[in-house]
Amino acid sequence: MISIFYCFILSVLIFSLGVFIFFIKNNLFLMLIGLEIMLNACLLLFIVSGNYWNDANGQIIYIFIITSSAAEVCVSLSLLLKFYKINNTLNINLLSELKK
Amino acid sequence: MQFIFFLSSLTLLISILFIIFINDLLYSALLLIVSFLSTSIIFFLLGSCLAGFLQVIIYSGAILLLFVFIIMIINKKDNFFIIDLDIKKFFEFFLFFLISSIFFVDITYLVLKHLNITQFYKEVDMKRVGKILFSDYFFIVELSSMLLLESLIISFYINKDYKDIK
Repeated sequence: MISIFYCFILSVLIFSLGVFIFFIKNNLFLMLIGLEIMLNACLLLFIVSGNYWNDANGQIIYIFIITSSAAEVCVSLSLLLKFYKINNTLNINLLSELKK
Repeated sequence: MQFIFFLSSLTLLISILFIIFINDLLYSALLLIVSFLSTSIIFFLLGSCLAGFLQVIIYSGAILLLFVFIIMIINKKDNFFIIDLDIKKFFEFFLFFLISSIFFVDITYLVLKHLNITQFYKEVDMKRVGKILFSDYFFIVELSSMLLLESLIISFYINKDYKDIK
């Protein structure tokens, strides 16, 4: 049977890789992808711990987190499109300057 | 069963590693879909069927579709997303790796101290989740539907063109 250790190790590895993507890329889109990967690791941890104690609350928290993630992705992608229309780039080093 | 778990976790880690080293936005979105599908396989193996279904339907069906549409709209051909491997960024990465490993050690210490590790997973059935969701958490379900409507309105107002008004 699958030990809970492997799931914890997998979750931490996914989370650290998401942090790595978030810090090493200078593209706004790939930073969003890193955020999604970090969220995925947290969801895996919720599901594993909920199933370990035979509790249904883990899956309920999963549903609420996935709803908030959908709203977040919707707003952030529309902001990204607006940034791209104005500045014609997605480089975060250029976008971070508010006023030139 | 354990073999399938290791195989799916291996595909998950490899697909996330390829996102770092690949230089195409569309390929990185497709690899993200692969990673979410392998996560859903892990959810099915652990016995939470509702989470696996929702992972397939909502994450890799709806949210990742938005990513792919945005790539199609942008259609940027220049190589403007070059990886810059500075020493400072690697230092930051190792700092965060240290923090997450401390978190991991904390959790494993708690589990080792208080719980029996060889205990088996029990299946949490869908009916129980639905009953709890629509009895105890009914108000939060309504609030989440309002949140989704709000995000739709916000994205509509962000992308509105104000040139015609002026």
